[in-house]
Amino acid sequence: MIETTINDRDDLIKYLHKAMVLEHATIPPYLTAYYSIHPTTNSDAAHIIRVVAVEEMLHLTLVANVLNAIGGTPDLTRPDFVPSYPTYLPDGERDFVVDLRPFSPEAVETFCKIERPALAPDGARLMPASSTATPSLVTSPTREEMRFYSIGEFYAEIIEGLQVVAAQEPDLFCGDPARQVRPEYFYSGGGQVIVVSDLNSALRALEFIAEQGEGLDGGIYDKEEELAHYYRFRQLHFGRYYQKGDSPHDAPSGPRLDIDWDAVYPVKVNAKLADYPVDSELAQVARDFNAEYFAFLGLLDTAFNGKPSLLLDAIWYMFRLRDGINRIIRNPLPGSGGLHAAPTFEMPTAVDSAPGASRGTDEAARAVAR
Amino acid sequence: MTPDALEDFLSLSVDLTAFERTDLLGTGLARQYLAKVRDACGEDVVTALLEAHRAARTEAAEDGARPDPQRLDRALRHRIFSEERLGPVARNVIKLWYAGTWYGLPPEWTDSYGAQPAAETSTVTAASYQEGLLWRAIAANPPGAKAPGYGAWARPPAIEDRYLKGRSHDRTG
Amino acid sequence: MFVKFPEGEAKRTDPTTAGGVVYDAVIVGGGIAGALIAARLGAAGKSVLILDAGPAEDLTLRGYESYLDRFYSATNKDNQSPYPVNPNAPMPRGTDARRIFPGVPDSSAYIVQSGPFATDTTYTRVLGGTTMHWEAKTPRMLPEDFQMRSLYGEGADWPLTYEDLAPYYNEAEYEIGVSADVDDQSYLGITFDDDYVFPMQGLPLSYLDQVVARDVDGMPVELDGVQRELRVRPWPQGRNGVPNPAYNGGEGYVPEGAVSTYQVEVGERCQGNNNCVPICPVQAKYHAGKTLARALQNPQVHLVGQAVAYKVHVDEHTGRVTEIEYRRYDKPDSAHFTTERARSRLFVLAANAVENPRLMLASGLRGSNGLMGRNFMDHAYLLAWARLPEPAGTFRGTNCTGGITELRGGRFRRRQAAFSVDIHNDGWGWARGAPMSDLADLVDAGGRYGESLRQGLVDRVSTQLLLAFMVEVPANPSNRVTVDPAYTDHLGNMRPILTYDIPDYTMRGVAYARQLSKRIFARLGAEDHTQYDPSFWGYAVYGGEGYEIRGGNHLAGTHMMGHDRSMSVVDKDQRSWDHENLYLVGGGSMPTVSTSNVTLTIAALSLRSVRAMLDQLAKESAPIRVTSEARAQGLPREVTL
Repeated sequence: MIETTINDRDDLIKYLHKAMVLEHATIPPYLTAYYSIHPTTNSDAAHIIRVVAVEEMLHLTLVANVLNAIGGTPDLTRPDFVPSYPTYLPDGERDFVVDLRPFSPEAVETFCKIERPALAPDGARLMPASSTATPSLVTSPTREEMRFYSIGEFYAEIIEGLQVVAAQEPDLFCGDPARQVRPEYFYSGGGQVIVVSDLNSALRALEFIAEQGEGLDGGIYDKEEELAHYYRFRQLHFGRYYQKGDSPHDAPSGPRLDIDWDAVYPVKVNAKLADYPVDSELAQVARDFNAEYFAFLGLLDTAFNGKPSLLLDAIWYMFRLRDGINRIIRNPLPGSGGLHAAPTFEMPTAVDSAPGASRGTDEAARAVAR
Repeated sequence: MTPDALEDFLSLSVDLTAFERTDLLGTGLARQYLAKVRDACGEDVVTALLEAHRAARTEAAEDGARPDPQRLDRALRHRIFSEERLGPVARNVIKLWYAGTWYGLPPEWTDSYGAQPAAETSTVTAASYQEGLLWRAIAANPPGAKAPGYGAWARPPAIEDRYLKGRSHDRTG
Repeated sequence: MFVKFPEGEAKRTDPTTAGGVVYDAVIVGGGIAGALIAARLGAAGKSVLILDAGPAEDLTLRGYESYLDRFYSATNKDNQSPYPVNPNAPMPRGTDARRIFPGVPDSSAYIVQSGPFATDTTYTRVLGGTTMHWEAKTPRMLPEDFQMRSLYGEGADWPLTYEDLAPYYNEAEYEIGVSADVDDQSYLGITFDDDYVFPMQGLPLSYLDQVVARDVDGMPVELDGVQRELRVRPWPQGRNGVPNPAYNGGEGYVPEGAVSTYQVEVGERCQGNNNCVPICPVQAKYHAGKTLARALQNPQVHLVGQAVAYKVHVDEHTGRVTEIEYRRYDKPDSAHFTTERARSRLFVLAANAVENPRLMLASGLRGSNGLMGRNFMDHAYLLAWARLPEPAGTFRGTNCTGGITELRGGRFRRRQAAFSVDIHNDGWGWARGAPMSDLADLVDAGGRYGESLRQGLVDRVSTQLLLAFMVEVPANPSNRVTVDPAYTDHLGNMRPILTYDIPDYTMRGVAYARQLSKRIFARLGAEDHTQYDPSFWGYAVYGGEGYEIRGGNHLAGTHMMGHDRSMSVVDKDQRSWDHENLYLVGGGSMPTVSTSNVTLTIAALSLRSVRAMLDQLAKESAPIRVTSEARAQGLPREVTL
């Protein structure tokens, strides 16, 4: 066991920033896979992915609440907040990369890796970055050379550090309560927003995230009797639902889950704007989408920085993004050998995001401003 | 179905609907709509319609430039909308894109040109209703799909300015 | 939170085995009344069997999506379009309505209409009942609505007061999950407990409502010497909104989302799909399947689907109900059925105000005073439509977010019917099939295409305003449901025959509503496009003017409650005067329909009746002698409870 890497409030803040980057990094891959599914097909799979994506938004919000509670400042507008796909997970897991790909067995395999259970092979949470032979790892923001085995281990480190720092610094929870996102502003199902005001509520929020993602104490169901994300995705792998009594070591034994891998738009994996024909109508649509996506992150940023009621507006943004993604994905990508276009989630350059650069963003901005 | 026919159908549809090509492809239904028109009216009618549209665009364009809108409008009226066989089909194509429903052609049309087995009123797929362009034109969602989110209805509709013609709806809120 | 429907529950109970059990209660109908009563009786430790006429399928997300797909694919998107046609449990459809000619009943659809007035009123026979397609407006009744006879000499008095029902309104608002604000809903005598808040905050008014409010708020209206000012007021809604943290003394409220056998997280907040009727795609709108799913989590609560009640059997000496004979069809698409029986200590008919009396009358139980099936009520809807001077964003929001309620009550009710007014967010859809009718007209007759079509749609559709006046219909014994062996359905069940006319009292309200609509349109600078078509099936002439009158699906009054057993069918607990172990629950018990959508009141009455049922079960501990036609299955048995 290696000693803790979190010794004071600044360390905690660094970890929580990284946690927000991490939670967000899972969303574009889930959205890409979800919206690649043909409408009115693959209902089981679509629901599973959609619910997980929505719960990642909840996790992002919970981390923001913890960060705000200890006087931190969430920042979703930093240039490196959105990774460039393919990417390693920001916690340092290096045995797999995360792609933006259509719904497929490969995508499901990646999703399972993202959400894999917390336990490292030999019980060690932090591992030297050099031990690349081990299946997976995640970096510590305070010790570059250290990586975590999984998101669960990463949160276990934060939970432990939080307790240590709270014991040392009595005024750790000095954040303005008005910055907390309360349940009336965020709803997702799969758990309520937890308002963080002290160590107890902070621990509940973080444990909830870890538990919902990867399961608790090796079980497949959490306290609310909900299946952890990892096991939800395993169901897609096996084509069968879990049911009560199933063990994490066995295949699920519940009813069949029907998957039609062909009822999916074959979107280009990790599409970039550079893949789009220059000056095409389609390229403009893709740029418009990115502008809207980053405007959405900007809105979240404002919401997490003292205007929590804006999360209600953020929902409208998400629904518009949904329509935008669908429109892009149904367009063939010229010159790609039959593949379809996909949103690129690239940060707009100044030219792209100039006011009035496109009709789409103009409309969106107007609808929100009024 | 040849790729050319799909291209021609998209080009026709852009002129008929005033939605962009990416919007039309973005419904995911362009191929199915072309197939539906073929099944409902027959191959010959579709070929004639696409030819008439090409001819109208050529007539409206000077020296290969973009067609002049006024001349194109006139050419479409003369070559398509007023044409006995093509007019009702073109109007049906518009409604197909806007409503997602194929409406049965008028009886006088079927009397003259024959009834195809797939000619009666029907939705093309469960998705076609949801993709109707009508709803985008009025900045609303098709009832039962593509919801805008809680409370979005309290804001003014995001109708593009060019269709508001200065009739402000900013007096509230 | 999702609502878990216990997997396999719809098929778990074997009807024949269940026939050998004497339950504490058998409930006919898995709609809101039946579901609430089942849940409450089960929670009190009682054994319950629910019989439902709809298909015996679990409430799954897949099943719900099949409703949605049927809706998306339907060329005619009427109230029933999502729900499968089932000849064994037929449903009336709005599209059934035909003009009725004197002396010639229209028997072309499930409800035989003998007129003189035709109605398009509907109800849905699937698990969850008509709450599957209800719009989910949940206004309380006014205190004066309970005393119509003594205050205004019209209709009937209730054996209950507003104060009697108020605590159950609170409970019903919890069970349904109502979004509203107390300030908006306190008017015309409606009061709330001091610290009461609704479970969720009120839904915002639509932009269209706000445009109307700009000119209508403060509009003076004098009626019967009383001056009042109109205002656009939000409706309370049975759909999920923003939970009120102050609910229940600060405990807050957790909205219930979709029903499913597997975890799914949708429907915890309304998304503005503008499709409450006929189906909320995300189940943010309450439907009784949510309550039913919770009730069935109790192992003492059983469900048999595909079970159409055929006959209520009564002990001729005691008047007590001994059993309900029902026909259990094998499959929705086959008329093959087996006859089964359900026995219990109490029987609850919760099938609705048409099906309850239909079943009683088909069983030969007209009531000692002959009132069974009489006093049928519904709302008479008058629509008025106009074009606003600017695009107001019609077709956005829930079907209806705001309305005008000042004319729901007042002493003018001595003379003419009261009404409430809905501002419809779905434009002229109800009246004239917008926006598809506009599209067809612009393209086919207007020669529009491309940009001019887009312009035309904004001009014609986004400016639409439709006001729906929901006018009260007082009880009248000659408006009634009857049966006749000449009219039966696929399973041999007698079909309901409806005799219905709109009284002058209501028509005076209708005529006044039309005049008021003209004043409102004038105040808005809106262009009145209202025109009533003399060939319309519900065309009614009054005072030389013709009106299109539509039904409201707000069925009431066919087994009215009262103080006096000679003048009513059930007592204030909805217990039958004639059959002491029989409860007829639902809108049928209401003596006035007034100007409230009926579901909230049905829920409150049901919750109130549970107390009487539990008292009766506690008192009647004596053994029950199961007799009647039980001989067919063996000897009479003595059952000790």
